Amino acid sequence: MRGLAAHSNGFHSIRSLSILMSILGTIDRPGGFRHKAPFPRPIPPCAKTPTGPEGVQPNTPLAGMPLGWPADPDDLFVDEQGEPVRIDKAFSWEHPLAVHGLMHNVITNAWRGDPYKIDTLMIFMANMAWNSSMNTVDVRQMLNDKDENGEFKIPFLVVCDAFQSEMVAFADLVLPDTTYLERHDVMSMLDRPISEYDGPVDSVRVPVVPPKGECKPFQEVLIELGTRLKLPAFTHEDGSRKFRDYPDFVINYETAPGSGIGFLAGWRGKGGEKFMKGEPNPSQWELYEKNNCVFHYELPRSYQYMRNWNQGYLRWAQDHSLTRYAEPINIHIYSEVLQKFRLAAQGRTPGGRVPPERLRKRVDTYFDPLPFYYEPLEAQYSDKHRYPLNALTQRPMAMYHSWDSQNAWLRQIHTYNYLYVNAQTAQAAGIVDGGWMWAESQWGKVRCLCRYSQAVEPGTVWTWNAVGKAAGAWGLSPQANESQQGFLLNHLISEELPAHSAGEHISNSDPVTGQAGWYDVRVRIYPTDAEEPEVSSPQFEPLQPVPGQSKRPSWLAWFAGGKKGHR
Amino acid sequence: MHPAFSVIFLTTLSGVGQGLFLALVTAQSYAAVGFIELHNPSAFFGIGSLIALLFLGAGLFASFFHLGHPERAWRSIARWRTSWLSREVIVLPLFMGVVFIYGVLHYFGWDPNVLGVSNPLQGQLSLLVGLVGTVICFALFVCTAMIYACIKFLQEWHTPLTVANYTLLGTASGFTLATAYAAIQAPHLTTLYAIWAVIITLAALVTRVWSLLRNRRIQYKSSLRTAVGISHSNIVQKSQGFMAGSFNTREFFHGAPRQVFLAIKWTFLVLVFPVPLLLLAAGMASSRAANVRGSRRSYRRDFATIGLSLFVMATETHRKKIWDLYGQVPAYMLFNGLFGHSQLHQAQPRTILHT
Amino acid sequence: MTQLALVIDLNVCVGCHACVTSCKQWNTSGPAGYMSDDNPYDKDPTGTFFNRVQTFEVGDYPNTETVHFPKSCLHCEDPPCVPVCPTGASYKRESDGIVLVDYDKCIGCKYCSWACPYGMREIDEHQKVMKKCTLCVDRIYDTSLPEAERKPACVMACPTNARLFGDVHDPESEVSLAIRERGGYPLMPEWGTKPANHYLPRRKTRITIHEDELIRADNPLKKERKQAPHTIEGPTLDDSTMW
Repeated sequence: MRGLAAHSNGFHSIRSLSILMSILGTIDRPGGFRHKAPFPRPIPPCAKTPTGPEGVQPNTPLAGMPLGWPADPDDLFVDEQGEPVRIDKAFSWEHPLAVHGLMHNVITNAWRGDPYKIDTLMIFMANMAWNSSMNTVDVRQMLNDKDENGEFKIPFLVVCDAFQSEMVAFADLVLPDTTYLERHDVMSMLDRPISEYDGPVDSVRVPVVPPKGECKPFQEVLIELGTRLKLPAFTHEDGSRKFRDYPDFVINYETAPGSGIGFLAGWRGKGGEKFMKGEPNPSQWELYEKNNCVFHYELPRSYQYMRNWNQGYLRWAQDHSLTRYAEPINIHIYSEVLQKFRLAAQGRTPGGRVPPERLRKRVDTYFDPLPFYYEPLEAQYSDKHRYPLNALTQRPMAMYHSWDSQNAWLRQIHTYNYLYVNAQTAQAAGIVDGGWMWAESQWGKVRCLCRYSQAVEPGTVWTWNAVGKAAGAWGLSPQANESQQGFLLNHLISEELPAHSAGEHISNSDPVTGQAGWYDVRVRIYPTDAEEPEVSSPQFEPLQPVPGQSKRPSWLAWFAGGKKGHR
Repeated sequence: MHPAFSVIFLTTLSGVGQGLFLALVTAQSYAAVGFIELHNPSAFFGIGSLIALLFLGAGLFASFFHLGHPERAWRSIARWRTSWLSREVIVLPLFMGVVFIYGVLHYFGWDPNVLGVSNPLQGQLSLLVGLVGTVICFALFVCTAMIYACIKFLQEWHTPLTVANYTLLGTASGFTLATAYAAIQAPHLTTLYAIWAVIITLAALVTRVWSLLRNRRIQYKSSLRTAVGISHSNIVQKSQGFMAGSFNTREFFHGAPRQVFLAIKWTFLVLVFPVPLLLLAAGMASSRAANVRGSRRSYRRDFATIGLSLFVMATETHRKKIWDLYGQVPAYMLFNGLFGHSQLHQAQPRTILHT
Repeated sequence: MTQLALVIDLNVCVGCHACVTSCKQWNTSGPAGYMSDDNPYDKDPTGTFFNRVQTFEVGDYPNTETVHFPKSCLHCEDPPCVPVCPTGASYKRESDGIVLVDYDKCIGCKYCSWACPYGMREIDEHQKVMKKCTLCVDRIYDTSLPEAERKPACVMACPTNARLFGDVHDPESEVSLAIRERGGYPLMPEWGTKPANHYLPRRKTRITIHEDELIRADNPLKKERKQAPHTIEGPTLDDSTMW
């Protein structure tokens, strides 16, 4: 999450913005904030997680959704003491409305055994040993750390990745994944579809080249696992296999038996005559392929606006099972949901769940039913005179959705990264344009290259995210600019707040939603000494090539149907 | 610009060859009108022509290394109507042909009296060929120089001084080689060539300094403002869209830091013009001393040594001059991707532009 | 006579490089041959591109504008790179004004790159010929493509519609209208090269709000205020109107 959401005060900031839009009347109006199906949804949406430890039993499927939308303290996923059940502490009093979970705390929590120890960590498409983690240096140590018995604290680590990423180097088991070009995929109505303003859209990917080597789509791995574990979603009542493979799963899976709601909204029903809802269609993939892999239903024009209160649209959405209720969806200016949590914290809900003592003040403060501004949590607990600057990152557009800068020519655009500093701020610190400098937070420091900028506010420094790589990772040479001149701001960011009254290990996240406070770090900057090496810091032991990894050609050229390279 | 050594060799070597040929024709013309006497002219002109041909051939050979596809070099005669490069490609072999004929006529003594006048003119056919060759030789200088001078965007190059510099430096190096050659083959011509070498080198110094002054005061037509079309006094390039170089940074920036560049400029100015003159003075003095001692051998040896060092100096001059041409980052390239490169920040391309 | 060209709107370009990557993708796979990359996985990777996006900062903080500036061959109407070519490999097409390089005739002497004041030509270090933007000449006339896709790859890829493509000699074309109505300008006009590509300048959108406009004259809150009953003395028209 980026932008406003990437701060520990992000929830209330965004709520303020939404309320402002509501007051201005720009919600789902021409030129305003338009909805895309399946939105608008009821507030809060219906899905709920289990609410106590009994919902998680060995060899038993989870009793509820893994992620949900708590609407009052009884929906929280906590034990009798009000402490977290989940490894990431989502849906606990620490982060009650953590609707996306707190992935950024999983490794640290597992390493500490808080709330419990784990035996296996499975990672897919997340570079937790590098740019997907806060506090990267320590997280890398945690991944390799051992307990007093000499056993790994995270005993078994499975990584599914299509590339030789920093994370893969820590794996006990690597599941070589396929790329988007080699597998089936769905951009499903069940999970962030690609809808347009004028109506629901979903889409698929179909393989255009066969997978290389022993690569297997991760979805196939999951279906195989689910089937062998005899999870009910993947097996018939007699325990026999329900889905042949992922394409079969996509077609035949229904949210509930006979619900008619599946991954894909288009060409449902026996002959493909229905959409949104209908029985599974065995030739659904073929029909998608025939239609450029996209299904797009354009709503009648009168259903395209004001959908929170558009009776026609709401009826249509209900008829097509997009939503349970056809009632007007009013934006909560005063949030009754937040107030319920606040009342619990104030001890004004007799007999109801209450937060643990240490968190009462926190919940009371941040579950204000009306939005308000507060200083990001990290800043509240930091020495702002010692660390006067805000530091943040953004993903370069040229590399968005291409974590793999090992693409031979894409990496020419952002080969390494500078820290952009307002010229006056840099000059005051004695740092020259294009020169080496240190950026230091209370958590760590990085040596990097400075670039003056007039386009950044003097109290902020920023850099491109994830351009810096660990030496030898991503198939790059250990001398590649990415590791020698590029750097990662993550080393300066902590996944936990300094110990304070709410606890010693409270996540560096929004206290309401658990959204990571990626942009809250505060830094100071100073030039390097003349005798320091001109290389970014920290550096790590270069990754060694793995068996079977092909040699790097000295030049390369792609052409239709192949590539050519020479040593 | 990044100096392409193949092109530097081409222009330097062919300049020497051209200058040497001009020196030969000069001697023949002087002899034709009776200013000087020639001993064993057929060997002197024949071998001289061969040396000139060798230089021209070596230059031509070097030029192939500049091409991505030398096997298609023959195509480059196609656009002589518009391209000075094409014209050079035509004129250079033509000139070599004439030099060859000139040499052959002399060496084998095929020198009929085509003009019907026998005194004071001698060797009339070869002289005619020599005069035709001279015209072609200057045409070649013009073609070579115009390759650079016709590029109007490169204001440092776009001046008649480029043509003058090319011609004078090529001729100077050729005459200096002729001085050394004469010291061995025809000692009585040494002084003549040495004097001409000095005169032409001085003339080259004048045009060279002139063009340096001109370049220092040059008013650039283009600016970052016209290059991006934004009217503001403070435009700074932050990204070139690539970070580890491109064709433009390789081709149009020599990569040398500013100090190195200034050092080269001054080495060039100090060593290359005054030093030959000093050497020449020393040479004159020592040859007079040798004459006094009557030792013809030492006279010849001294003059050959001095002549050769002069020759080295002169070719060095020429080479530096061309290096210098390349050394200039074209003004427009500064707006086309060179700003913002960290190396360039230290190298201060603006200053380089003025050297 | 037709003169195809790009018109690039600096006001909406966000510097995402989608045009750069789609250009490279299309053209390295094109029938004219690859665009090679050196040190692809090593220090200092570098390669051939037809299109690059530069970034400038204009002005001082806080009055700064970040200008992303896509550049490719401008297809000059009087292209200085063409007459200097000794082989005729560099040429300008009569039919549509596209400046092209015939890779089979190019000897790789680089002279045209010196003569281009815009620095828009790049030699391919391995194919050893000079290359540049072709306006995707292999796309725009390809009748096997749907009509809407017969545009340069960069134009197809631009997410903000910052790139327009068309005939700048047709006064009614989209590009001509854009140039005429939105202040399109050529680069370095001082050299008389008459670039066919044009750029649309940054625009500042300002609204002027007068203080009066912020106060609602017909504020309904005021209407709801209780008003005292208002009576008048004397006759009215009502009193004497009988029909």
